[in-house]
Amino acid sequence: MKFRFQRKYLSIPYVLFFLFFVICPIILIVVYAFTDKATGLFSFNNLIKFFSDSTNINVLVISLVYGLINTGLCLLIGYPIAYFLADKKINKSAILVTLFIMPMWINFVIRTGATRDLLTWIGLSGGSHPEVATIIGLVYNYLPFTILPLYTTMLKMDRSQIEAGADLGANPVQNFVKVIIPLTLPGIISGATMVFMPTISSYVISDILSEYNVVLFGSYIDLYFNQSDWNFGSFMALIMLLLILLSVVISRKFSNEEGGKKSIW
Amino acid sequence: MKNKYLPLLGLLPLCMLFSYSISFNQSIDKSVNKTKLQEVNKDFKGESLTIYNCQDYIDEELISEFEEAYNCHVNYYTYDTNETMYNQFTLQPEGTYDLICTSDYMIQRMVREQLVIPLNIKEDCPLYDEYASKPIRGKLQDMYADTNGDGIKDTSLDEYAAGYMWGTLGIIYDPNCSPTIQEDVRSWNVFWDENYKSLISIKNSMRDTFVVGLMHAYSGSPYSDVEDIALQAREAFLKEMEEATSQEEIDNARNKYNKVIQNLFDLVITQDNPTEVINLVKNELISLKKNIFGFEVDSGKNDIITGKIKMNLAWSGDAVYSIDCALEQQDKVLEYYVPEEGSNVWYDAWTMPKGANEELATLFIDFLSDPVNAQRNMEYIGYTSFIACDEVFDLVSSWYGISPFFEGSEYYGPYYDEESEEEVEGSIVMYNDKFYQCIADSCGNLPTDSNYFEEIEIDEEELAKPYDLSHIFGENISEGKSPIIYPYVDSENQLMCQYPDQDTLARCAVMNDFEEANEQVVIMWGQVKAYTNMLPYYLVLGATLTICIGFVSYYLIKKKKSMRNKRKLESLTK
Repeated sequence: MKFRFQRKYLSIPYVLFFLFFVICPIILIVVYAFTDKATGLFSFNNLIKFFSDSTNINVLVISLVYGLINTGLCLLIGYPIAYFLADKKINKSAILVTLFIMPMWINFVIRTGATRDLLTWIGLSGGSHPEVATIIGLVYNYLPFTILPLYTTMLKMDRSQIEAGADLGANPVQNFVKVIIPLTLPGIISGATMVFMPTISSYVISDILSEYNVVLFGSYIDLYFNQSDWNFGSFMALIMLLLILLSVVISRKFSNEEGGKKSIW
Repeated sequence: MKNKYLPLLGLLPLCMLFSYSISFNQSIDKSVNKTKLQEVNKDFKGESLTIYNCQDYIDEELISEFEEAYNCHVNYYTYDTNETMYNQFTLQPEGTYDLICTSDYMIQRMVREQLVIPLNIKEDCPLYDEYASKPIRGKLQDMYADTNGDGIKDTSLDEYAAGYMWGTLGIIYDPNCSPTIQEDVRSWNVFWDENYKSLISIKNSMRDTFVVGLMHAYSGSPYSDVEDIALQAREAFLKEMEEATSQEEIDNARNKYNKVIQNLFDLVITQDNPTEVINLVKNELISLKKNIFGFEVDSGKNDIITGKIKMNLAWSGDAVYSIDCALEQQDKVLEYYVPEEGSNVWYDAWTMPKGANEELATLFIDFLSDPVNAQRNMEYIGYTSFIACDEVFDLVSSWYGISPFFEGSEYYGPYYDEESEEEVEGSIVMYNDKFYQCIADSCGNLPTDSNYFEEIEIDEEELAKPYDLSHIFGENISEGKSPIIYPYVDSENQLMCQYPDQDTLARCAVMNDFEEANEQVVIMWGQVKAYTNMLPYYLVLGATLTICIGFVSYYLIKKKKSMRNKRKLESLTK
């Protein structure tokens, strides 16, 4: 039989990629999460271990709170910035956007190392204010991730609708709440998810900036992997996976119900 | 030696190179290679040796020289922490690595899990056998592991490991940070002292921090109610030392004291239920956490130099490095001390995993144990080598002070060091209570020979009291050579850090592998690290949830209303 090239063969690399880098790791995590370290047999030991120590839950709550605060602050700061950047009258060229995105071009470990010195210099070192230092570092690192999706949705936003709203008698506040926010909702949601998810799992920023005083879930998982307790580490990774899945589902629901346009998540 | 965020450290090795070549370099680059390695008639063409070592823990030039000498290929890999090494090593198929350098407790674990094979040191590593410091190797010999799973530790680590570097755990501090600091660092209490709040860094390393908590708990800490065994042992030891008249009595007192500390260290593994000890340490560490600046992986070395922190828990090898860098970069004096309640002494050693190329691996160990190579290696790394020989002694004495003249040693005249681009002064020796500086390379000439030596004046005040290193170099250096260094006043502390005296060693115990208790200690460590006031976090989370629920219900009610209106409108139009 002669080999005939079919279009579907083009998908082979993608399928392979999907298998090796998405499916396999998840299966491995699940397998490790539900096996006993000593015997290697199926067990719920890790589940029991996780929920029997309040520290584990506390670390999870700490991570969630940092995720929420970071997301909130990023949106609060990023929204107006994106709004003005998308306004052709104010930002005539794309240079300003580039400037805001530029920190992303530098490796974030190096950037965080520099932030550490900067914060010490202004008296907000991780030793004395670990929480504040961590939040500043997180916002600094994730701000571009909120600005970008907001900026793109705002570019596509039909500005005549805002004018129409004003013409029809809406005051600026009403106009903002009823016209601008609904129009930019897809951007808000994808911006929020792009910040929230990695924040929960990030740990290098909090480790360096808080001098290891703030322990996020990612760093907690790292501790167990480092001490060769892969099973418990995997179980916690699984929990984080489920949490992120939950946040994706929620944000999906939001973006489908309103706006109509689908966000990239 | 253990760093996590490598990119940040790009500058460290550079600075290290600089400091060593500028401040110490007196003799090495010019040394004639009078290697004592045996001739091996076998050709190793096509064979390769895979080494797994800690980062920055070898002079890599030695590796290429080894390749040349034995016509083989060396694959050199590095890791950052012992735990990473263990994870990586156990993941690889047998025979991936031929030689691994790791810490004492990790070797113990690997021996117990039967991952490594014995070394025949007497036959395969004669140079190590000859030149390794007898007392220090003896300490490694005194560490045991269980090989057949019967729970009895009956195999000496010396059968599986060839020592490489060793040192103590102590405090590196800025002597100018407070008037009472010299007194304060004599006790681990200093870490809990509120006068130093937020000025102290602790290693982000479970086992090292454990030592601090343990020693503090057993020396009358206000956070624990156990007997202050460590303090009592110290008092008894001091009393015995005062009363001791013979060397034997002194040795006995030291051994007895060391045993008490060792038993304290071993509580975690000897007790049937280690939970009590672990909880004790946990309470200590949680209270400690409130007083410190933070934990550090590798930033502490730099932070203490820049003055961000004033005190740091450090390994002696790192302390030596920091002391040099501080003097070099900021003209700042740092000192090191091992608190008197007792501390940890550690040994890093080479071990052969199963399936190793035994011949090349043992040859490599011997290659590093060659006096000249050991000296070069020690000069590069700055840690204290297991190898104690004339060459290493001369290096140490040129770093920290002046030692009596010995006819068999080589002395160097002034020369220009190309690497540091600096003029290096000739060696200084002591001879008949006078000081002489070498003006031309000499070997075997007496200092009175004016062709090679020149008498110089050295102020008595510049030199501290003589320091006898015979407890480490004792039988290893040539007969007739005196193992005494007259350190410069400024270098005395650093010399004591590099080679602790016998009383310091008496209060330092080895820390065996935690074995079964390890899991509990990991949990405890996680709890300590994550310990914080949770109230604000729960408040923020609660508030956010309330807002979210409020928002959603508002949205749903509004939607229902608009649906109702829509339906009304539809029925009207019908």
